[in-house]
Amino acid sequence: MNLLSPILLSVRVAVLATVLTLVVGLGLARLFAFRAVALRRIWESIILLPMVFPPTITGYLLLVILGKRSPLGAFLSQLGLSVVFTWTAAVIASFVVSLPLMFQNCKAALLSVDPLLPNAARTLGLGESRIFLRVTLPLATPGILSGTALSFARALGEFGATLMVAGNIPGRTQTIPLALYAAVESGRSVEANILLAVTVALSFGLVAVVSIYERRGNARRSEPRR
Amino acid sequence: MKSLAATIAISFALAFGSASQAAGQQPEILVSAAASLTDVLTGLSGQAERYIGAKVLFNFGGSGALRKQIEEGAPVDVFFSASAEDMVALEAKGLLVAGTRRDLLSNGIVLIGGPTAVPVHGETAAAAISALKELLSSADLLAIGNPDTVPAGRYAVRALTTYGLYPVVKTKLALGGNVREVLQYVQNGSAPLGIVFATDLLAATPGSVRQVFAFPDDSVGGAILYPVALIRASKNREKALKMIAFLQSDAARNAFRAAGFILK
Repeated sequence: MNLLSPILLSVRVAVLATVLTLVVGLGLARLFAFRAVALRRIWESIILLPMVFPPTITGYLLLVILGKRSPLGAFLSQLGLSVVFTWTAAVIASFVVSLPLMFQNCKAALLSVDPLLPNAARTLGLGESRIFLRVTLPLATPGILSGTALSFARALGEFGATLMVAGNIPGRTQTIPLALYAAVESGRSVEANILLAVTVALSFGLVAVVSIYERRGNARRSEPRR
Repeated sequence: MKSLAATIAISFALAFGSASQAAGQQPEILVSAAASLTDVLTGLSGQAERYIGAKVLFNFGGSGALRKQIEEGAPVDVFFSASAEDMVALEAKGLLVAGTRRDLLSNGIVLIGGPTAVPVHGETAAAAISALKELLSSADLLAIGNPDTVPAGRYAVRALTTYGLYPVVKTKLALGGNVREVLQYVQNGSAPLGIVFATDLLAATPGSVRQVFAFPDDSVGGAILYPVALIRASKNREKALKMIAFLQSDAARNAFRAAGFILK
């Protein structure tokens, strides 16, 4: 059995899902942290649902939403796009289950920034979007980074929702967790151990990258201002 | 921030770069198959591809989940199920091509024990049942699959009920989340006895478990069938039918027999 394919697929899916959650999660966090949003509790609950749902339920919901019998699925299939059973479906599943982690962390990070600092920038005449990019975002970076790390870990480990909506197709949609499960089920312990080792290595690598960024960020903040 | 952006850009490039290699435009057949067929079908995939002249992909899972995916319009060509019920449900919804269903294989359920377990024999069926009753009464645990979700567990309960043995074991069942978990319980000695599919016994580490009793088909209400059929939504019916034909070829039949299945 080819072990490289689930490893490459898992990395690809987890990276894309994480970038997507970072962009969407940060955007939503900014919206909910600083703007008045109608029905905010309901919207926030919907974003957070996949964290509370068992992943198989999330997967089932995605299957129903993206399947050919739903309006969205029918529309996509008219365009010649079928999402179910592709690795795009795996990215969508990982994105949906990791979004709550990213959203919560980013929101908390943005709210923890002392409002005096962006206000000071405002008195100096800086525009809102530049304040966000130059003042708020750099100060919130540690929290955003830990949200990114958590989301990546969650995306890398996604099993239940992926199984439902992307299937378990070796060489196509079988990610590391699915391949590991299949290997254990069939008693192929060598394969299972290799996949385990790769997962440990990936996780260590991730933790190392995050801590390097955090240390660099701390060093920069503690530098005397010029 | 700049270096973070660079990291994201690089990872994007990596992700998409490796993505493009997967986009081959060769004909493909997708077979949704029961998890218990994983090993034997994976072993046959090379021969199947040569036989039908197309790439063959498998989607392995529980038969119920596979059925649900087909009902939601998943692009499946062939369904190879471990339960006749799921096939009948798809047939009733008009999702199969009429006349393509073949009941290819059947499986049996067996009572297993550790390496020192003694097989149950009886001159007559009644004698075998009373010997079985004695054995089950003296054991402290019996491992079976959770009957709500695991077909092997459902069949186990059905067989025990048929023989009037269910009351004997009712209070000492250890429920596994799937049939291979049940096998593990007996293999590592957590449970002295367990009920699994005959095919699982062949997947066990040699010498770690022994068959104690094979339940006859009538004790579970008829043979445990593995039907295969062509899905109506298939875009490549000719190749898909060839795949079903391959599953009935000598090469496939030998592999199924070697894996412990009973050929129909």
